[in-house]
Amino acid sequence: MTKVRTVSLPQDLCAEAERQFGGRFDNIEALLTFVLQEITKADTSLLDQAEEQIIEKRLKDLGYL
Amino acid sequence: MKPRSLILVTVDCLRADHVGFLGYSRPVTPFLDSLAEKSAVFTDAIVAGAPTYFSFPAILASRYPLALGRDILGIAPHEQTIASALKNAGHRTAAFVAGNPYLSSRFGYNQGFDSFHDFLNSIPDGEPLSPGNGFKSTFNRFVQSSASHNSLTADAYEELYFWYCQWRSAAEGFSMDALRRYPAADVVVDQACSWLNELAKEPFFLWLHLMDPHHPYYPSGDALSALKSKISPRRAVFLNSLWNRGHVAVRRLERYREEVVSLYDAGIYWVDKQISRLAGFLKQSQFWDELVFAITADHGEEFLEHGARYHSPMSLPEQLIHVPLLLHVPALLGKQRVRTPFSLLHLAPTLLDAVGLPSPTSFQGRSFWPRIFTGELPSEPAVVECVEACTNPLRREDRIRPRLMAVRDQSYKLVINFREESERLYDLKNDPEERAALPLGDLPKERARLLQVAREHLQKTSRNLTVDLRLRSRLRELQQSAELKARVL
Repeated sequence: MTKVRTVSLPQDLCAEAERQFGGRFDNIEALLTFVLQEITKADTSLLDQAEEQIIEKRLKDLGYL
Repeated sequence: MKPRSLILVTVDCLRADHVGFLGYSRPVTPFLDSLAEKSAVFTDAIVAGAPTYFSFPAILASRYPLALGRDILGIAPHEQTIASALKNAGHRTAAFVAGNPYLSSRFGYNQGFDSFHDFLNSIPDGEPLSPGNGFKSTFNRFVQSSASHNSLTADAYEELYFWYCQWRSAAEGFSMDALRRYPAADVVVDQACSWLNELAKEPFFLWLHLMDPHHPYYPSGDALSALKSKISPRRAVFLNSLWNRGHVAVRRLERYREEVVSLYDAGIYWVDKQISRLAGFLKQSQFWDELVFAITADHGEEFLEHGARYHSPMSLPEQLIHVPLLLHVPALLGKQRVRTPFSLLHLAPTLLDAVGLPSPTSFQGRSFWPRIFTGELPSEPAVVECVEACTNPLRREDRIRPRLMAVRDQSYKLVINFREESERLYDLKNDPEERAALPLGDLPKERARLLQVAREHLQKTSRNLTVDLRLRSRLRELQQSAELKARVL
């Protein structure tokens, strides 16, 4: 099992998040896990980077980089 | 100074070379042609993405379509748009969107509007005469597949299918109005006029999105008559059925191209006629002289010029990315022609400036308004981007695919296909129809210049990603899928 870490958050913020998203997430940990996964998710940014590299390679081939 | 009112009309699928004021020979846009004589016409307006779901973030929020990550669709929750900017400035705001589901509140397009009408409840379920899964459809597919092995039997099948469609449509007594998939422009304009009627003298922003040229092509009978077309509803059913079939060879479709284009043109004619009616209403109500009026399109439409139909993001030809743009400001602008490429990314800031308001800082485009008067517009390439072959953006996995990008200036266009790691450079001056890409070794300097623009665009995208807008969009999507699941369960 993945090790877990405890973080401290303002209580009223957690309550508000539970009020707004309680129906969609089992608990506040699940909501925050989703948010952090979204921030760190790499699938779209990896494609961006790969595309930038394709252009850079082409520019190098043409002698313009 | 009191801010002016603004009307923005966007027409789905309206390509630049099918309006009279940009040179089309068929008289489909008599009103807009006359208006163009007193307006600024951007002869080289280029969308920032195609189709609709990749074009509209730029039109309304002045943001490149993939700037929040290519998996994000629509306007992000709390994202600033031209509507929210005008609402914040005290304008009354309303939108009448003729049933395009990608421009609905689900994707945030209602943001900033006091009144938002997407007509989605009035759209019939399913296509008329769409193939089903019953015995007759299975048998039809079997016969079609068997007949396709040689051209004689394939032609015979096609004729049989035509007569079958004729028989079915005759039996069901279709009319063009019954066959139409989206509310026609007259319905949308009627509702817009009702809303305008209720206004006092406060400034307003009205956005109309019209779908008449969108397939399936079932224009008003009056529009067909005005264009002297004798295509009957039965024939239109056949043409649309045939045009929509994936397997039919281009050479065979070519035979029907002119008729299909006639149906498309009649849709444009109807839009023109209804805009003329709207303008008449605005003149009568004494709104016309005080407002900024703009008309453009979210993308064009292909009719086999490069083998494709409709407007899928497969290759970004001119037929898809070059759109009309006309800006009419009665008291200020006379006849002006802007001949440099103008990305629709700059439309919202230009319109806000014309109205007399600053743009939100989140806008990626900038205003060209003051320069329209001097004619000193910078000639800079327009960037068009989309996810290649993403024809069902509702599936997230379809959005996580390589980009397709075009960098387009006055003379050249470079189309970069990242999946193939290939590029095509077109010389638009000598080959405006993009018949053949230049050989790979040709014009290395021009090629590198446009590649450099593409590189800077990608660098800016990754550097300036707005994480909070992205997150809000993902949470919205999650919330919507949870709600959908709850409804299904």
